[in-house]
Amino acid sequence: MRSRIDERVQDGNGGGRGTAGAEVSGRLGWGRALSTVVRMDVQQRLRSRTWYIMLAVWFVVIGLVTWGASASFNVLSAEEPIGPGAGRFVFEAVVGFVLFFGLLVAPAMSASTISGSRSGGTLAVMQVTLLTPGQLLLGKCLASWITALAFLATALPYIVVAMSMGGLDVSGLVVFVAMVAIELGVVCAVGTAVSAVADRTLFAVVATYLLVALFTFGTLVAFALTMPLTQTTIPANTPRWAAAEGEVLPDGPEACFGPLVPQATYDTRATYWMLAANPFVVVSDAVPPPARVPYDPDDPDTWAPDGVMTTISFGVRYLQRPPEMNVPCAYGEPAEPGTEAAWRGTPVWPLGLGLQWVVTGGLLAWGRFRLATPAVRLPRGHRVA
Amino acid sequence: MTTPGGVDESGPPAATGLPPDVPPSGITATGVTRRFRSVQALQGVDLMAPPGAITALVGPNGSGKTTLMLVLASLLRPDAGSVRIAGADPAQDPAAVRRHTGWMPDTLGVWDALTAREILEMMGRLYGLDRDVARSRAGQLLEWQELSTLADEPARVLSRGQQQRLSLARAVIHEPQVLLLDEPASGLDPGSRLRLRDDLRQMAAAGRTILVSSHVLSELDEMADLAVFMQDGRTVGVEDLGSDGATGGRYLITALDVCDLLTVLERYSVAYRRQPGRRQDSVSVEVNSADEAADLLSTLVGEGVRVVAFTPEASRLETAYLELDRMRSVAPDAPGAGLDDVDRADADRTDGGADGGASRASWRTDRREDR
Repeated sequence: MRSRIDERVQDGNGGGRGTAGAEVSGRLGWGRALSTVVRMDVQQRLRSRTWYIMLAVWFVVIGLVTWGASASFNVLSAEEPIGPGAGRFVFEAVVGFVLFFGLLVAPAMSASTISGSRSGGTLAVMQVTLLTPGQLLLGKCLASWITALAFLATALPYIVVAMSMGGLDVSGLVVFVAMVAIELGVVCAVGTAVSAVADRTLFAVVATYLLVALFTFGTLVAFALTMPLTQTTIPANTPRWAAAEGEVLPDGPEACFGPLVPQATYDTRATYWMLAANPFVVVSDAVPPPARVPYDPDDPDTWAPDGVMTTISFGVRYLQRPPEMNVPCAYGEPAEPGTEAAWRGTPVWPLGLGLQWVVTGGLLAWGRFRLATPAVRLPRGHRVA
Repeated sequence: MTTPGGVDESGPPAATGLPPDVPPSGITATGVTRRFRSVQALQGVDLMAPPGAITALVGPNGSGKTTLMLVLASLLRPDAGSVRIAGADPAQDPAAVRRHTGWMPDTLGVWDALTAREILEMMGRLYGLDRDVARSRAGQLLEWQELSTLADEPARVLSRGQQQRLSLARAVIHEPQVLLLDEPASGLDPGSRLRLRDDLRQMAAAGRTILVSSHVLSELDEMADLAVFMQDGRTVGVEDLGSDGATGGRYLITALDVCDLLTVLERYSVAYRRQPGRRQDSVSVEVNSADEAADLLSTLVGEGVRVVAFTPEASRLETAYLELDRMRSVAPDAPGAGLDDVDRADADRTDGGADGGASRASWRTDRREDR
């Protein structure tokens, strides 16, 4: 194949002969198609000066976040920390901020790709090549993901800084970074698909922001609104605490007495899943909890704060507990402090990521349909070319 | 500048002939219709563009030229009708059509941060060319279009004409059999337009099918072999521009002494029109055929008028186009009542004074009775 083409081109130099176009293979391989589309798109983006200014500003901002996180860790922690240090706390602050900022930036970068080249007149030129709609869509999607990952990469030096502060296990670090990358990929895929569907760039960007907001805030709002509906009652009676020198020991009640009275509490086991699709929940829940608690539970002087992501993860797992665990004396039995400590809950991030992928997949399929040519319908007010 | 049909190195690296085992080529469209919501953009297009020729697609703005181009380029599905391009149906097998078709859109799509060379190489890759093949093709095409010096600059620094040339190079990167060019000459300076004409002629001579759309008739007149006229989404006529050299219509006659010319014309009772404006030494005369034009010229020369120019006033394409336009506007009315005729009668200074003279010429035998 190759040698035939070479011959043809050399022939062509001197006015050769042959069947023009016959050397072009019928289908374009996925590797070649994707690499070409990605290279065109990424190079087009990376050659703008504003891009580098933005990254520089971003680098400075992450630096400020790192500094602020480590300062507040020192303020929040007690005077005699025995824990492994501020590393995990600072790291989680940086990761949370990168994710937050990525969710703001990725829609703007991805939702302008296809609608932008449509109005720039370059989309149709690519559509008349051997590219299939799927290859075009996926290539554009990968390209915007790669540019979004640059924001994550810019933050990496600060992750090294956080590691140097100690208390950061490598497995947690890798999972955190990988999950943030995946979440950025989901947002980029949504943005690219919307930009293939939408007629106007502005509309595509706004729609993508709304979808990201649906995941980020919509999940919270839905959970909060359904919370009152989960109210239930638990038959509870009065706990008797083992008191020593007027101080309550943290071991829980030693016995329960008195009549069982219904006590109101919430049973969020039926609704906690609504939070699963939240990007922050997905990222924080996927990471294994810290190997050990960064403080001695028996000594309040050693207390140190959990990182923001760990807090989110604990929060979602907490919502999975059966309602009787909210009451010290349910059904006349004292709550076992051991069960409380051993309670881990089930991971929600597979569910969250699954929900996100279902939505993204649907949008991508719709976008692919809208990119298929010969086109049956045109975007309103747009010519194909 | 390339030479038409030449085999010089600067020519497009093109195939010079069709092998006999590829019978179906060219463009055939029959009964193509396409509606955009309330607008019926195409309402029955029949088109035949043979290989080895340049076919012009002529029509006013909004007559459906671009829509037809999009259908042919396999970007738009027609509502009805059948299309064959290089033997394949774009609706059934778009990949086969795309492999053999180069399309140059009317809007200039340029990746402004990429260089001309990168654009060509990557487009070649998207047509399945191998990396080094795409690279060498890109180099050749840049040289062909005289863009080599700008090849590694970002495409945004290219002028409009240079971008058009890049767009043409992009359209032929995969050596297509069929070329669809939508307004390729718009915005080009006269030199670039001549280049384009020569380039296209050369590619047609190599056996390719070329369909060029435009509403600027003069630029098509220079290059086209065949003209297809479109109006309101229909093909309304086909004109073979290659068959004979000249036709009837208005001729512009310029003489050294315009008084001599006028005297002779009046003696032979030829209706003429003085040119308004600067061209005071010229008159315009209408003839019915090329024969008549030749007779008139030999008569004038025989009478001793020193003629320095005798040329058709409008290009052939223009004449054909105006003719079609006139027929359309006349058709519903009585014959001869068209606006065009009324205008002409007013403008003509007819030969009333010399009427009935014995010297009435016989160079034209069957002309006058309709006046």
